[in-house]
Amino acid sequence: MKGGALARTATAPVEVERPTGDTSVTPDRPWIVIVWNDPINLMSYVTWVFQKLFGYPRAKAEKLMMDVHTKGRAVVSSGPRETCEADVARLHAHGLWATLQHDT
Amino acid sequence: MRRSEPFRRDDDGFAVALPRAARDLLASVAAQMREVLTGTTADDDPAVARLFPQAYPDDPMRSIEFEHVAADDLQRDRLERFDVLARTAKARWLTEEQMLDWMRAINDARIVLGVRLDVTEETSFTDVDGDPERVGSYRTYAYLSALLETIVHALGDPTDRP
Repeated sequence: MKGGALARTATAPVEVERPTGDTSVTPDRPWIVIVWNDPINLMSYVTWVFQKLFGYPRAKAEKLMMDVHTKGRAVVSSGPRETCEADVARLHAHGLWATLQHDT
Repeated sequence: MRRSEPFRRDDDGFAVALPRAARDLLASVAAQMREVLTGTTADDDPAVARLFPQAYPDDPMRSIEFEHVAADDLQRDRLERFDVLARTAKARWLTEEQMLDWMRAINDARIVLGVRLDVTEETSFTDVDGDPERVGSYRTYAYLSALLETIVHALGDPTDRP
C-alpha cells in the first residue's frame, strides 16, 4: 500500500463523543451492557456480531442494531457485573464500542 | 458473465477467490496493523484508543481494573489475528476459524483507517478529495468495507450454525 495508509498522519485528534451515563453504585440493581453508535462499523456486521455473541434471532439482532444506529445506543445484555464485563470484552474484541453501567 | 464470489462456503471452510493485488493489500494491511498495535498506545493514538474502549466511561477506577484484566488478552488476540491474515493472505481456502480471524482483522483495520480519516456515516470520496494520501487511505477503507460485507454474507446467519 503506497504511502502506508495506516501510518499516523498529521490530522488533528478526533473529537470523540463521550458516552455518558449513570454508573453510580447501587448494589441491588443489575448491570447493563450498552453498545454505542459509531460511524465505522457496518450494519450487517453489527447484526452478525449480536447474533454470534448472544445467540439472538436475526430479527432481534437487527432491531438492536437499528436502535444503535438511530438512537445512538442500545442495551444488548444485562445481568451480574461479571457476565456483563465478559460481554463487553467480547464486544471490544469485535471492534464494537461497548460499555457497562448499572441499570437506571 | 458473473464474477465468482470472493468467499464461498463449502463443506467445512471457505473457498477464497481474490485477485493477487487484493491479497497483497491484505498482507500489507496486516503488517501495518501489527506496527500500529505494537508501536503506539491508546494514550497517544486515538485510533488505538478506539480499539480499546473504556468499559466504564464514568468510573476511571473500574475502567483501569477492567483494562488490567482484559487489555493484554485483547491485544494478544488482535496480533494473532493479523498474523493469521498475513500468513493466509494467499490461501485458496480458509477454515471457518481463519475466516472469522480475517473478518475481525479486516474490521480492526477499517476502524483504524476510519478514525484516521475521521469518517462519518455520510463520508464519501468527495470528502477526502485532494490530499493523495487521504484519498489512498479512503480507497483502502472503502475496499475493506466491501470485503467485510462479502465475508459477513458468506458466513451467513450464525444462529443457523451451532
